[in-house]
Amino acid sequence: MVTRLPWLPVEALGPRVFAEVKHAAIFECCKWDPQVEDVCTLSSLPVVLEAKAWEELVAIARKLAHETIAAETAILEQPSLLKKLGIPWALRRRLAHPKSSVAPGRHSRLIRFDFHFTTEGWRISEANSDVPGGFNEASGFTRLMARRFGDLTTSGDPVTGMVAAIAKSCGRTGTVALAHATAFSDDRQVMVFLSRRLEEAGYQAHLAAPDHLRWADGKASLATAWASGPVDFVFRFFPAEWLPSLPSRCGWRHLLGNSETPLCNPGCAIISQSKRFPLVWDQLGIPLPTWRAMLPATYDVRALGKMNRSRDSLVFKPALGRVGDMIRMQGVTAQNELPKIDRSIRRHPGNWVAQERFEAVPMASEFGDLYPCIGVYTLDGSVIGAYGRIGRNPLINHLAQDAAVLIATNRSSPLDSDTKPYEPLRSIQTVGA
Amino acid sequence: MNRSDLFKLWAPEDSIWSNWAKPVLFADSFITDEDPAQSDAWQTANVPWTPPADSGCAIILDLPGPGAVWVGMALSRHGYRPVPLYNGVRGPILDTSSMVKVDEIVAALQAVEEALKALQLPPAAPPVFLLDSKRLAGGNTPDPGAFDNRWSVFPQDFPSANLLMYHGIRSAILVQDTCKDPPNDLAHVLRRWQDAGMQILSAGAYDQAAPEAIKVQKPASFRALWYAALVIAGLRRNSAGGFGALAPVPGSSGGYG
Repeated sequence: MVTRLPWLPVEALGPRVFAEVKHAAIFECCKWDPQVEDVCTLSSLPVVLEAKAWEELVAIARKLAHETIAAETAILEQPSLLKKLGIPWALRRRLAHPKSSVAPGRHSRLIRFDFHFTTEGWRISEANSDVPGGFNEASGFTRLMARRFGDLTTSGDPVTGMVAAIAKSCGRTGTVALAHATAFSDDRQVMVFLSRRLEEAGYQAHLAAPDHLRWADGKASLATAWASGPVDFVFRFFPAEWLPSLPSRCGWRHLLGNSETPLCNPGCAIISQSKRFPLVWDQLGIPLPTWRAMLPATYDVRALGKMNRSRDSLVFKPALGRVGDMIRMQGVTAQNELPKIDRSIRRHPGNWVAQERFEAVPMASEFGDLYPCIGVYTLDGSVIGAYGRIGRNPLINHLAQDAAVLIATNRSSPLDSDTKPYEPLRSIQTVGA
Repeated sequence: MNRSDLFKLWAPEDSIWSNWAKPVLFADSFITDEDPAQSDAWQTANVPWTPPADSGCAIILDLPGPGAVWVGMALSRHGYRPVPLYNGVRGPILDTSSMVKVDEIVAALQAVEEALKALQLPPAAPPVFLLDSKRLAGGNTPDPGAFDNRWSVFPQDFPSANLLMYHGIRSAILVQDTCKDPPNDLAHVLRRWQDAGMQILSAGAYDQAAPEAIKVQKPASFRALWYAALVIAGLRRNSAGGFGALAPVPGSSGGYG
């Protein structure tokens, strides 16, 4: 059991000060969706982690990132496993093709691991491996919040890390295509924010849809009314499973990894994006100790009958679900939604996964108990920052609020006679051993 | 006036409905700091169907292009607070390459600056939500090279019925160019409000007739968990209401990670 919490108590910003932060987030950080129904999507309360707790997350995330790349490589060498992951046929066919092989080190690999503090210590609910978002909040909003809490620091700046990776990949100048779904402002805001930062760093950044790219000899170029010519780097913010919907003439298959132009992320990232990823671990011949320690035990839903397990004791996730949509968690998912989800599980069991539930530890606050989720970004194995969300219940979905993750480098919890400075739990210390 | 200050004019801190104002067009557009030409064309707009501001009614204006800005300003004279819900982005350079034209809307939002500054509305003034009925480009699919900036409204773009009713709003009038049933995306919003006990009415913006009470039919995938994903995927196909088509048109999506 947990004896010590990783976060520190802090007061939320007052309404007037927070209104200024929110307005700055809209206009300086392209945060264009500050309201969802009756909920402000930005939290006036940051998640403040003790320095030791953050160091622990960094160490775990690094290990997870290295194991993820190793596992993806191993799966690409055994393409028969792709079907088990619930990846659509059109993608499997391309990924299994020898020409889809990914040259090691050519592309950048950005992943966000979503951590929750549980009664058993840190656990992850998923890896956002394909198109992790949240840059505007993790880089921009977090910086704005840190200014209001003078003695706290940010955990890093994912966009700065991304710009550095592009510099490493293609030099200090060049053209970067930001390939995304242009019609949805929630996605557009992420790309506009990134493009502004790239332009500040001296790059030409072009906002485009994936079908605006053209490919010759594996090299990308742009062909639009507003930009044309060779591209030095492609940042993809368009889910890999949607790529087969594009016309083949636009050469989307190159986005899977068979590209001379550096990519972030190559589309083969969908392998670890699939929630069914754990179901093939035993067939890889590599140990993955950190993944096994951090992710709750995961099952094929077709195996549950033999295990005599009640549905209500497990959480059900769609293989390629995003932002918490369609997750079945008894007591958390709305009752009227359960029959619809159950029907989908029954009809398409190969597109679902069942997972042991963990008991998230709430963070006490002036707003009541809140459940933080700390998304730790890794880029090519290094940690570059964190994206916080807090929910009123343990399911982090579109109604969760974005929260700045700040680090108390010079502060620790107010001690009372029963508490000790934060120490990693034994179960976590043994990870990777 | 810069775009940040323009947004503050449209979403003043003291209005309880300002949280729902969409900042996209203000933040990602070509608004310059120069003073735009002001227009008082809206002052001649005739809105005889408008209920008194204290009648507990919200209004949704779903009109083409900048039409909702003009009619919304006309309603402000009757005590209603205009709340812009335009959620589409502009194209990279030329409005001509964009499927949904937004330049005129932005110009209209700027052209009433002075009138907005002069508005004296109480914080609880009932809302009039402004939408562009051309947000789905009339169901057209993108031509090659076009910038796909179609958009759709979702229930979460509006206050919930509970919150509206908490603030005394018991009915909602949908105003379109003529009195008719709501488009599919708005039906998802209005049906929820109707189910929660609000009365829904329909009016034609340029009609003289009083609003008619309507029963909003349950739209496809109503309250489905996957509705948003389906709509977003639908935008890649034909339109935000275009469920069922299989061949997507690229360039739009949303809501992941």
